[in-house]
Amino acid sequence: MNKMSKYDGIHVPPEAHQDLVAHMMAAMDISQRTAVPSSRRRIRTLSLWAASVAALWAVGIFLFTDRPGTESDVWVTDDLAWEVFQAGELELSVDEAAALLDESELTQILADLTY
Amino acid sequence: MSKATEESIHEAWSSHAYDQAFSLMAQCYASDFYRTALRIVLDHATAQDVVQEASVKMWRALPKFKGDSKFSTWAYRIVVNEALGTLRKSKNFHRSLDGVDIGVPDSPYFEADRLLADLYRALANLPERQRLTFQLRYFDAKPYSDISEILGTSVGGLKANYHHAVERIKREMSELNPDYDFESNE
Repeated sequence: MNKMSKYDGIHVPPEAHQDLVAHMMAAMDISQRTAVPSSRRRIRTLSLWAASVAALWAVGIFLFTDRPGTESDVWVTDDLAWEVFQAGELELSVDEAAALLDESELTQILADLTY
Repeated sequence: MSKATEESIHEAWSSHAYDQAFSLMAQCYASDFYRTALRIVLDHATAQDVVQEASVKMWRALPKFKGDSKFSTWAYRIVVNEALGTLRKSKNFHRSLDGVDIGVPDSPYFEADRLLADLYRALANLPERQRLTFQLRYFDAKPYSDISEILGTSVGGLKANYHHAVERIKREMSELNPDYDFESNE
């Protein structure tokens, strides 16, 4: 007749036991590395608060500050236009140049061109 | 390798040497944790994962350990809970393709004759509490007071569980093999 043994049939050899121990120690190491020390956690929490306050402040400034109109007028002075023309950045036909420039200016340009 | 004692683990823990306490616990109980996990999840790789996950939880909980029970009991509870949690996530627990319960551990460290394999098959048909109570009491010879702490069940409830488990195992095993005679093995 069969007699029951209390042995559960699971036999972990010594080298396998050491592997299991190593697994447990590795789990502890990983856990230690991933855990954030309490002081660093506090700094991180404070940083998050500071960032949130700064973001709210920026939104407030954006919403409640009078801002200039969105239209952007570009003012070009005569001198600036002349500089652009002289630099060759502006192409004008002879008729357009004659309409814009007085006689002395036109003479000057012609002198420059013949230089 | 000399086995660390419960007292030396407690000594390290009480002096806040948690690394040392954990290391001693691992040296002392790693195989027992694996055996407990394997008997629940019935798969070698899963049992190893359970031990590792339970180790992370043990390590994190170690500083909060109250010291009002044995380390082994406290650690067993973590391993059992981790194994049960893993088991509940798995939908295919010990069911073969043809739908017959197997219940026999699949591990290179497991070796059983027909009787033991049938015992595992019978165990697989028990309700969870009865199965765990029987395993901890019968295989590990743990006192009811320890099992009570591990499973969070009263000692009276455990004794009833164990009694029902034994009766049902006898019935199940007799169905598996009518030659089993339990009367002479009480």
